Amino acid sequence: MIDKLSFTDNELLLAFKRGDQTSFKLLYERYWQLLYVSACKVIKDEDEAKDIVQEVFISLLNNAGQLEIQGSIANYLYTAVRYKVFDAISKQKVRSDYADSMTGFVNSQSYTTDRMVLEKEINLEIEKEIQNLPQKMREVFELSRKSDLSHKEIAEILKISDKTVKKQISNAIKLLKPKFGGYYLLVVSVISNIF
Amino acid sequence: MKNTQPEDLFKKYTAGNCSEDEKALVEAWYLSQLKENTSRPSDVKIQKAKDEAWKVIMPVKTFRTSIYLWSAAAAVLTAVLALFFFQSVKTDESAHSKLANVSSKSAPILKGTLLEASKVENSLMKLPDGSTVILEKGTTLTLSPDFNKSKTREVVLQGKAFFDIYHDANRRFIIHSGNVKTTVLGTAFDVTARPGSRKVTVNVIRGRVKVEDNNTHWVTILPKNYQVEFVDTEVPRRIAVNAAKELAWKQADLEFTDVSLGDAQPRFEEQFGYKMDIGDTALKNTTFTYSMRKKEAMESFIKGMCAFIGASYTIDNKNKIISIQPLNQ
Repeated sequence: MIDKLSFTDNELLLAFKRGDQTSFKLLYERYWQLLYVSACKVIKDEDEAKDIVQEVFISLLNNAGQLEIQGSIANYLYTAVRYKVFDAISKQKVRSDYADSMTGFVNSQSYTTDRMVLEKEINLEIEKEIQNLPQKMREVFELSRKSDLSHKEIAEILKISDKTVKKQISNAIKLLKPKFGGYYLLVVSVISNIF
Repeated sequence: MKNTQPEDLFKKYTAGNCSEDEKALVEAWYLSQLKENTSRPSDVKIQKAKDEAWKVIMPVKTFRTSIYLWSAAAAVLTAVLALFFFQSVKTDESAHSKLANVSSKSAPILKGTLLEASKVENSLMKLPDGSTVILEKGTTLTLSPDFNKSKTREVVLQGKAFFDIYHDANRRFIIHSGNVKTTVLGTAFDVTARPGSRKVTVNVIRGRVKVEDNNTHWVTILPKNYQVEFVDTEVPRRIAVNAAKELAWKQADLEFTDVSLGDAQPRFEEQFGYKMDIGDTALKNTTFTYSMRKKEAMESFIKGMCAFIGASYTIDNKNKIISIQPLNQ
């Protein structure tokens, strides 16, 4: 009797590493917007930002088996996107606005050199986008990301009782249908296995 | 740090060559960008990008009937790709029957136009639809009999080829090689299919292509700088590559086989790093057959070619421009 939407990041990651693709999709649903919006803010080209986040997920999918993540999946994804953004900038052939921006930044000299602090601040900045997520996603996200609650506890907090679960799921399926395309059948079958 | 140009810091960072201070600087800049740029794409755009990216991220299993599902969604772009297809030459009978099986499945084109590259050098040719190809030495490319009339432009490749596809959104360009079918809606890419093992590899330089394995029914969309390997029934594995490097083979000796100067122009510009200015339309349409050596000096090549087509040339080394004019001007 478990609603997978309320799984924590770690639970999803573990299931994904064991080969569960629904968990991969749920991680994608959870993190796409944060990653994409943050990439857009730095790279300022929406197509390129899309390619970057896309690449990060392809490499996550490719490496499912041998993935060793130190820290959280969130941190892993934020860092991967950051590297890809720098990579994309460094591959630009013409001298870019980024170089000018960096030059201006070097000259301003107002930054901390504590990388732990920087990482924390970067993550906080990226997670500001959480407030723009759909409400349900935001609740699940916040509870599973910000606390060590198990999915059972989260389900309790969100009052996803046995009675309402069915309704929630049917709503979710309606919602997901156009988005998931072919995958919705998969989602339905996974969800129906729960009962 | 004083010696490092700011724009080089990004390269140093990704190469792992930054000092701790430099890392902090680059990360602090990243943070500053996140903070300063408060604008974000609209929710509709975010959702659209999310849906589009997912189609590329997750390879799908499909069946013949669903091939048409993948439509103009990716109203495609220029694509440059390399497809490697090796079939090992085995002596046992099962391998022979497998090979026969493969060719019967992969060759829906029974009678068509056969294009053959020279045995000793790569050949650049023009296809009837306006596309140009570079065939590696020894490669054959068969065009379907109704190549220029039917709804799809289909070819069967044995060997290795670079394609610059004439864009026609209504008539997809499809390359068959072994069990693998590569579909391009865009304009330029590169393909290999050689007698060898069952491993099939596809490279994309820019744009996107759809690649499907007729045996396993796996379909994947490849973005630029990715390579896919089809190995038996496993989920196709995509690997990030430097596709430009993978395509280096086409820099070898090249024979231009009855192509126009206009068609060969992008190839010259790529080879020499100079812009080519051909003012005269008639000259642009002049066709020629001529060989270019890999390490041939630019001027020696241009001189020889101009003598062949009856033209004169000037080279502006400062602005990197080669101008070609008819002899009488």
